[in-house]
Amino acid sequence: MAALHDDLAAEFAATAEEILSRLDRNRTVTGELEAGPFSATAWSAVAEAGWLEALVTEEAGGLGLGLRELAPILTAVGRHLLPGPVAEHAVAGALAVPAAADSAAARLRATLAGEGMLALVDPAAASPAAARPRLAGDELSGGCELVRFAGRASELLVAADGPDGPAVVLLDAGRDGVAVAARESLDPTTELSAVTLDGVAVGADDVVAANDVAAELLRATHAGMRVAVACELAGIADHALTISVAYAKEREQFGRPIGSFQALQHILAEMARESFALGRTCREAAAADAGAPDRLDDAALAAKAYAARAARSVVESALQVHGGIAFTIEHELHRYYTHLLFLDGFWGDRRDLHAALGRRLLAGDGDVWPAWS
Amino acid sequence: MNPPAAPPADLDEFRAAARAWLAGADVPDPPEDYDERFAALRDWQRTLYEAGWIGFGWPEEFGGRGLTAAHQIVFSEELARARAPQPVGLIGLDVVGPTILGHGTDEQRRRLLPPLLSGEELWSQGFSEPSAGSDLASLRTKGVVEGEEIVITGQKVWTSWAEESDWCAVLARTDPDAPNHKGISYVLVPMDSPGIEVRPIVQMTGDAEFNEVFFDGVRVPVGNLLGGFGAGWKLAMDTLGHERGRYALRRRMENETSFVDLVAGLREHAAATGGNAVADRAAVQLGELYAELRAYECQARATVERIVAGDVPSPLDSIDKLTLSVTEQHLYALAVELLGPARMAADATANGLPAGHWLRGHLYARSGSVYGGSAQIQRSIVAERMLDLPRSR
Ligand SMILES: Cc1cc2nc3c(=O)[nH]c(=O)nc-3n(C[C@H](O)[C@H](O)[C@H](O)COP(=O)(O)OP(=O)(O)OC[C@H]3O[C@@H](n4cnc5c(N)ncnc54)[C@H](O)[C@@H]3O)c2cc1C
Repeated sequence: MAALHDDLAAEFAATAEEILSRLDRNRTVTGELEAGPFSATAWSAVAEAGWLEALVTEEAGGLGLGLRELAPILTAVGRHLLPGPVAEHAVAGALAVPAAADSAAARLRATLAGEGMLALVDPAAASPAAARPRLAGDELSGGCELVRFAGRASELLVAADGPDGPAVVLLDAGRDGVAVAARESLDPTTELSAVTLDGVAVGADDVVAANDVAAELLRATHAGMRVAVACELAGIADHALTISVAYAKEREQFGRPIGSFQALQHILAEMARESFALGRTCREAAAADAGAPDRLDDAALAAKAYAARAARSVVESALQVHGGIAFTIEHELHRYYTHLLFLDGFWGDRRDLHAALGRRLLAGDGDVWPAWS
Repeated sequence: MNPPAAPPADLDEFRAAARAWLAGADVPDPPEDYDERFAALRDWQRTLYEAGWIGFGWPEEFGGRGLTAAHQIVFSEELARARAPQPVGLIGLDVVGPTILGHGTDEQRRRLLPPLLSGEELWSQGFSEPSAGSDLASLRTKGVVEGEEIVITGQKVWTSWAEESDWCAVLARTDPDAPNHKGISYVLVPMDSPGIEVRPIVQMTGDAEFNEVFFDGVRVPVGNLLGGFGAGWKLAMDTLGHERGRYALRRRMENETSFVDLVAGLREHAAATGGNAVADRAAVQLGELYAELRAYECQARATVERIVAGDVPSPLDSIDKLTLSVTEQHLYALAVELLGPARMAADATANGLPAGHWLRGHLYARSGSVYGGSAQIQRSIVAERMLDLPRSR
């Protein structure tokens, strides 16, 4: 069984690499990306590949795959720095489909198929302590400071608090009371918006899940988003290592390739170590038992925390290996670095996650070292 | 002794069987005193061997169980879960033994491997010399062939467990005219041979785990040569690969156990004092260390896959060794930090942590980036053999 999953994952990785490499060479995509942090052409290619529906259960009409098979795709997304809210669709959107009633499920499925786009309005993306929008009666109010690509969204998937527990609500972005304000983004591959909900009318069909069901869905979503971000960071680290090794072989100073200087060799070796460990960590975390939420939560927190630390160290070393050229806007590294800085703070910055892990370890009398799978 | 019934090959069943056996076993609690600890762990290895819980990846005809390295790691995990120590003869089991298994003659394997597994014969590794550390290929210990014997003269240093060992895998220069790497042979030397003198060296932990070993005209039969004359360098790289990969796997389990102990100590202290064991800052550090240790565990799974697939030695051994040393040093450094000012008081306990135990662990951890080839040497190996960077001059 494990081998079957690994084969499938490997196949997905190969296809993802192939599609994304083709997109890298596509002139329309390049042109669109020069104009801004999004490419409609690339996004439709991704939707067409079926990646966004991979996690939708078979009963709900999807592929019924797991994070384990999705992980290599997300890693490739990081490696190629494909802009767009891939994880919001492939994880949050896909996990919500089976919970949603028919009409909401159909609206969600449409966004996963590339008809329209979804934004995830969940304050936990910024901080575990941030307050959620409140659902009172049939009105939703509140907001979220930083939502990826909300300006392009046709649907908003909102994590809210209802009178008796959490609720997950699907809103069309044009509804009265929804305001999306674009914010300037210093990450050239991300668009950020503030979303405000002011007494937005919510119908029964819009409520994807409530109370216990919503709590379970949000828990799985948060863990899935963390694993997804960790995978993207692993892809970023892997790419930074690859181009740094290539550059170190080709750039010459003092009459020889800079990669022959031991000081640089040791930096590159450490990058290789961290990148390797990170790749394996993402793989194991993505294979964590989704049926045992404690294990998945733990794996997701640890993987995201390690990813932020390792990828940052790898990419900062890559900047050093490249010297002055890395500091220019023409060189691709700055995009990787700024996107990494964004991802480090997305779904819990490293300090928040370390604190969460540490508090769990110190507080409970539970298993200190739970098996992940 | 009749060989015990074979453990199940299916990994889940194997784990269950190991857990059941360990639950009923008389698991030793290793004393802090070096000699007592060594004796207790040697008995423990014998117990494991007699019950058939050792040598999983080794062929049955040489006393092993004909399973895989994956079984070995599952058993190591179960040892840790049962709070049981690892067996004592690690140089034999994880370092020199796999090289004998891979490169020895059938006669050598039949003679040497069963007692190596049972702990009846312990091994040491005589590679480093006073003037040949990182630059191992410059070693000077001589092996002169006289008829059917090799006569060894020279000095080894930092030889771990030489005093307790029955055999030493010695690198000796048998062809002084060949280029550095080519003139070296790998000789298996019985430690009771006349002409060997072992002088223990006390380490900063207080233990005398390593030694100086002097060879003065020590005669061993040519049949004790492993892999033929001049094969020493290649076999030494094989042995060091095992030390960096396999040994790192086992050491990781010990680190995991130590981390669980660390958390248990902090939790007990918190429960006993009715408060927060340590400040928020420590919770953040503990969480960070946990994430790093889990990454190390994930990396170790790749090592198991590699060993099962026969992909050893490999530059990835060096990646494993680096992660082992870095992570282990972070683990113990945090423990020492949590001890605060009590850290140097051997019999003190602070925040639920026994100072002497953690300080000794911390001191030992500092050697992780030196033994088996220093961290700098590992990074150079990764750079040149894995990343294929031009050789540094
Ligand atoms: C606890 C412990 C147990 C040991 N057990 C054994 C054993 O059982 N058997 C055995 O044979 N040996 C053993 N050793 C020895 C160990 O393998 C050596 O200490 C190690 O290879 C380093 O050699 P050295 O001590 O001579 O240091 P040196 O080689 O002198 O190194 C000193 C410093 O220089 C650096 N350096 C050296 N060359 C380079 C280079 N080319 N590039 C960059 N930096 C360099 C090193 O990284 C190190 O920081 C043990 C060592 C320890 C600490």
